Amino acid sequence: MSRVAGYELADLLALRELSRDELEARFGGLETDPDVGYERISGVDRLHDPSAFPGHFYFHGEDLQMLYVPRSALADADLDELERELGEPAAKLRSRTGEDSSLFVYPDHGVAFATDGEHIEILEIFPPTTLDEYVSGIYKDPGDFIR
Amino acid sequence: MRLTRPLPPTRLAPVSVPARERDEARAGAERVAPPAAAGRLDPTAAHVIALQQTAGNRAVAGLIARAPTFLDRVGMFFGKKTYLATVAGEEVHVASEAEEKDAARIIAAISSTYGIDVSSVKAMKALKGANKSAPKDLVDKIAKRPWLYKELQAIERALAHYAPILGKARAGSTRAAAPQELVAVGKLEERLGEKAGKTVFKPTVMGTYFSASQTFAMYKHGETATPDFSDIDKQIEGTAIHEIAHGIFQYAEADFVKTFDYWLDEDTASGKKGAEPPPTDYGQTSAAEDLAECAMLYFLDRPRLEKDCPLRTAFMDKLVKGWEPEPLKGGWPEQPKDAETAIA
Repeated sequence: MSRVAGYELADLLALRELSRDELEARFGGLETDPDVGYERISGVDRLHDPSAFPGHFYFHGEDLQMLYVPRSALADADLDELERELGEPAAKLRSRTGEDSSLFVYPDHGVAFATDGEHIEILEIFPPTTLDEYVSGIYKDPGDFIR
Repeated sequence: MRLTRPLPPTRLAPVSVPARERDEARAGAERVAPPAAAGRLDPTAAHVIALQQTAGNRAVAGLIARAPTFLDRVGMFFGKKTYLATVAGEEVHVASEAEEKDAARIIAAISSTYGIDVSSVKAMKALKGANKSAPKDLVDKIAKRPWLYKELQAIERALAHYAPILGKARAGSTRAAAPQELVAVGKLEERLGEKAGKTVFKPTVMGTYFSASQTFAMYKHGETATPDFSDIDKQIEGTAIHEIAHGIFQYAEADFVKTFDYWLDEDTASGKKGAEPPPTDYGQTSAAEDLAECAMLYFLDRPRLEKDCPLRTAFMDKLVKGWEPEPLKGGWPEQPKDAETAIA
């Protein structure tokens, strides 16, 4: 089982099942940044408390739209293990994390991560969806790195 | 009295580097950039300067003068505007002997003043190093590309913006304790890298900074692309400023992210309404690109940066002013009028 940000991947995926109140209860008083965005997702509240959990939860009302785990929390993540567990991605997209990085998308698992081929740079966990919906509703193409 | 603050760096007189001398130096041993050694000279530049000191400028100029060859002159007679010269081991397209000499002066000055080696071989190594897992047939296709004279001019101008923290001058700056982030620059054909999980050549990349080797590369596409400035000379300078900023301003990236509401972290925008956005669309890619774009505009089009991004302009002001050490409280001790005793 892959460990990511100090958690088993399965445990992170299970966080999607918690309601906003349940998350708040589990992690204590998460700070809320209201009406912000994440990539293409807009009008969401961001819940975060770095002392309790390294990721950022984005809620639209009571619905979790995204759990984003930043680079700073992913030192323990192993690319090979994660690929072994998740299999072949549905798509490898350009990643904002770097000129030579790619975003591996597993929409049916509700997982995407960016890698430079050695490290996991960012991790996204979201409700399972289709690739088309991920690309049109969540993913923001950073375009080519030209310099 | 001995000054604790280093004296301002002495600028070396412009020198030219004979192609033959550089080639011999390269043939003898692979040159290694000084590991962030501010002011330590590249061996070739050191040789030229030594030659200049022993034989004098005129003698050096006489030695290095390499007029266009007969074939070069024939080519130019039939309409070619430039010929390809080997200057300090680098291939450079020049239009005249004067340009050839100036190209040599620029390469030597970049080394002696800024501690940066103009070496396309090093840029090639840096790019190969960044593609260690790439298919060998593609890595083998990584190639140097001759400089345009105007590119060398633009790089010299770009480096001048960072002069207080490069080369010998760095020792008198607040960045003295940290190794210099840039030690080599080179010219290559195209960037090899990953794109959507595949290793490919990227023909639209204009420049790259390789942090592992403190080297930046300029590419063929940058010779003609003008995404920011209609003036190609200004554009090339801007691209160089941007790439240099990736190295030079690494130390400021965390503070940049913390300062600007626009960024949640180095990779991700906060999505906060009302946050001052980056100055260009490209700057929205990441905080590092945002900062490098700010540097480009700060040095080349400050009015635009001030108008669109006043907070970022203030941040850049603080960064650049921060290179200069705080004056000692009470001012500097009065120095003897005799210059010799002043530094004894």
